[in-house]
Amino acid sequence: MKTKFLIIIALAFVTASCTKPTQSYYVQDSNRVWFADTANLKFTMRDDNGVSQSFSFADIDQYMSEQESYFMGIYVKDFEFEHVYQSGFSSFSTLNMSVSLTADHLEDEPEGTDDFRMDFGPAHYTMRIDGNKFYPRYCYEYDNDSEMEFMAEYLDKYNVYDVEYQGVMHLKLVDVAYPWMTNFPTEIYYAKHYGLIQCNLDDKLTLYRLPD
Amino acid sequence: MKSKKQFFRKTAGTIVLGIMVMLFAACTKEPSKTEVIRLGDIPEEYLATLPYQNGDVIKMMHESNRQIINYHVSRGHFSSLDEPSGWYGSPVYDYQVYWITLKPDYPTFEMELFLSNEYMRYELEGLDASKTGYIVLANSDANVPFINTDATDYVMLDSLEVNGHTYYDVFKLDCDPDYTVTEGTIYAAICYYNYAKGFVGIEMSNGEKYWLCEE
Repeated sequence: MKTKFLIIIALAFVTASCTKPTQSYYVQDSNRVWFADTANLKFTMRDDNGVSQSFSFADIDQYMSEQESYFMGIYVKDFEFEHVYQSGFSSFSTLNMSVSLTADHLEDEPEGTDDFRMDFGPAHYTMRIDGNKFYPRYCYEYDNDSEMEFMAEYLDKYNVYDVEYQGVMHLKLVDVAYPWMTNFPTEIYYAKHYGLIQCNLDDKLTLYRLPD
Repeated sequence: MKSKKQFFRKTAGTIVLGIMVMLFAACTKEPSKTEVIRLGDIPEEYLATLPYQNGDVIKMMHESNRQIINYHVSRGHFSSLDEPSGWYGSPVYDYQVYWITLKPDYPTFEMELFLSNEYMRYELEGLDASKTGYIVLANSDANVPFINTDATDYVMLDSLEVNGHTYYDVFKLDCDPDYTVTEGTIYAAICYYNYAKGFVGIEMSNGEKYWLCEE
């Protein structure tokens, strides 16, 4: 009897392990708009002093991660969740950037939001987003092990070099007085379908996206 | 039963002994030797064409808003081994490389200069070799001749006036964009360089210019 019970448990375990994920989580469509479209992957930024540099982004990439769950050592369920990301670099390798979205799969608060991360030069901004609603977490800098507070707001439109961008994410550090800051993005304007349109470094130098 | 045990013991022992003999033979085999030819140091007269010293601060001015960018110099050298060409018995060349890096204190491009005596290996092989260093900056690079006698293929300006100073014997070097450059990428198109001062000026592909700024 005991042997039969153990065999049944073992069979259930093997069967559960071999099945495909029972649940899939995808990034919300309302959040996918925060990646640059194919037509907008190459652009030039110019700063307050007239110094220009080019930026080049790769097209969006996407993959699914699998997660297995266990209860008291027994396989219970598994699920998969989507990552979407896009990365780019400046022509002078001074301000490389990547943006990623991870589908909500851990039921983190707030409910129904995806995990958004932006790496820009030495800065690492992280927050939860739901379309035009943003819930900032922190901005991290690895070399100095600093965690900084930032604010995030949605702008219906924003003008840069006479181009009006519809739907803009505005991020800004609450405190910009860190002595170790060198070329640190303290303020960022990031448009739907376009990506980076303006940024401020060390709260001193502003770079603006030039029209095509 | 006893004879079977004996058989297995003998067979296992023979196999183990055979493996040990093979391992011993492999480890004691003398590795094949490749001839290393040391090319020595870079001639002093060529090193004299490098104007920068460790710790120097070079000021470049961006023409549009006259923004000054400080470039901090570091330099060093290392030995490099040239990989064998693949032909059995080919020698490997041990040569010197000098490098200089100019790092800006502004979010813009670095500049690098490299000099080596690798050309000596081609001379030893009876081949023609141009004695050039090369510069790398802003997604492009260019060759710089070591000494004037090798400079006949290069455009040289007798003099160039920059920010109130006159510089003599200035090479006007056309830079080659690297593989990352696509349509719209800004890169260094022309570099003005002389042995006394190094980088005198840079013209970018979009028309922006950087000029040496000395007091």
